[in-house]
Amino acid sequence: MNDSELHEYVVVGSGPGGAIAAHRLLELGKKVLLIDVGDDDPDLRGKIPDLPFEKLRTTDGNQREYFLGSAEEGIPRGRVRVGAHLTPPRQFVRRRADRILSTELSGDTSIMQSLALGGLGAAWGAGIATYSDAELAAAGLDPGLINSAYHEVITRIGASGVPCEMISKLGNRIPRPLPLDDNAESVLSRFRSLPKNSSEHELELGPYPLAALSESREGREKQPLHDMDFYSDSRRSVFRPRYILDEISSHPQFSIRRGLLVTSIKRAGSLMELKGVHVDGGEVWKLSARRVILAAGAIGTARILMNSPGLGENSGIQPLLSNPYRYWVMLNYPRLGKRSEKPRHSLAQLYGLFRHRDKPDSEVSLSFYSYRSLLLFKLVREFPMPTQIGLFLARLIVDSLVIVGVHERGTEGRIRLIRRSENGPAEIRIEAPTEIETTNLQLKSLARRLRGLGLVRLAEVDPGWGSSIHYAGTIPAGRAGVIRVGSEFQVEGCPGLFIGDSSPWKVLPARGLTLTLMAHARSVAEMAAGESR
Amino acid sequence: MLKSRLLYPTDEEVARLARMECDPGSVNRFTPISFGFLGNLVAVILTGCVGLIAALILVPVRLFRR
Repeated sequence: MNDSELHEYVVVGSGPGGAIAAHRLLELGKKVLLIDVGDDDPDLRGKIPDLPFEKLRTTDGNQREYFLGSAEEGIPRGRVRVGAHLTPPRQFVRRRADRILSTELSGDTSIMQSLALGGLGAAWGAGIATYSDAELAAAGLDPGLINSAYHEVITRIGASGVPCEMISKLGNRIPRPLPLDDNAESVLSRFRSLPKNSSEHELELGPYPLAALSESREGREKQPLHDMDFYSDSRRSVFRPRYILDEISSHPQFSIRRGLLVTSIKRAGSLMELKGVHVDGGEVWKLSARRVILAAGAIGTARILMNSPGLGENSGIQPLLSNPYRYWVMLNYPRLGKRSEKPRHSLAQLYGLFRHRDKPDSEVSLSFYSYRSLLLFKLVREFPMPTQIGLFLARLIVDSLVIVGVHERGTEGRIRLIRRSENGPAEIRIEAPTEIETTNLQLKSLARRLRGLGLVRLAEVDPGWGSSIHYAGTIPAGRAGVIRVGSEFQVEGCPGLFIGDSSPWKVLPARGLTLTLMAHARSVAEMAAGESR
Repeated sequence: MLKSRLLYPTDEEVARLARMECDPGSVNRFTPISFGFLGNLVAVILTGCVGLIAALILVPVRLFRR
């Protein structure tokens, strides 16, 4: 790679936003280079037999390798922090970022970054949600563009579910949902049999719409209900960004370069000049492009721009939005003593939306998981008792355990630049909000409502601010600041530089952001190609 | 301190249990147990009480080992 290398379109990042943007540009006839570090761990993935969890447990003598990892990295130690759900075959998602990117964290902040192929999308829980028009407008997104992009993205990535409030924008064009397991089915049937929403709060509950296939399609098979989603997906039934990259890899107009970390970007006449390092050798590289779509993730994009001459050199602090997140370990007590017999997947079984009747902004989003393939020792370590007694207790309750993830509306922390680097990534510090908006009263009402459904809270785990792994708003569009982004998501003063991730969003609703992120990336690709509106 | 160090299993005890759980020969020791609703309810209450008392008894031992 030399300084004179010139490209038409460069996409930075291979996550959900980058993959969708690259795909859309190719559809529009553009020539695209995608740059990413692109770390992966296909060898470990390949060692996992394509068998149901229960079968595999009794037959595979090598299971320790992928359940615990060769260095026992699958055994959690110390306090639960962000990424505790990453089993050894998925730990590559954060591995390179933890080694290469210098990031200080304030007190109770717990952040995950990724330099993996597929970015944080490689560990995505696959739950899909659409934002309301009001939420899109508040975020600074054009509802007309995003609503039409939702449909295109869903067709591309594959999904399943029933029409519901969580995906109200998708109508009834989505394939049938995956079957619920016994545990979730019992909660849902109780919810449907009880009188609805008598209090000032209202709760919606239903099967979680997922980016997972209930019907096979070209190159991918329907979800096999093996309860192995935290470890493997040999049938490619759950969407990952790398499936799009595989699909476009043979396109004559597409090329991808892995092992490259972008560290800064600057305007050079009518072109954009990207600079970075080879992550393996450390050599500096440069290239130029007419158009660049930055899709390095909200934190990654801010890190690049704050390190960029002429763009962020006077920017010492940028905002950062993240959904406060905690999870409740709950006992579905009416099912106590009943065996779970049905084959199941280990993605979220049910979604919930809980809000004050008169305040839509107060919405809290819930995801209900059953617990089995994450193994019992992780439960036992949370019990204040000797291991053998704890194991007996875990065996008594595991089939009636429900883990409820609780996401609140995004609150604003900060990214503080510690040190710029000419030939490497900037060093940054991430700080949680100083005054976290408290929704304790609302969460108490929620716990009461769930108790009415037979769910008793055994424990609450709060891994820290940022642990939702939902990030946005680092370069808010239209907001005064050193780095300014316009309504078409171009960086001011750089007509060739577009932001294709969640960095420009001004708010972060409680519902999962990934589908909207992909829809946004698609519409930004159209703007960059001059094809929008 | 009391919560994180003394009542709960140590990292080494958890690691031993994890290794055992990933041994195909020990799978039966990790399968769900079902005595029916009342049976499991009584067993959960008794196990919880016994477990907590055992953990409290073990506190001096753990303190001595540190």
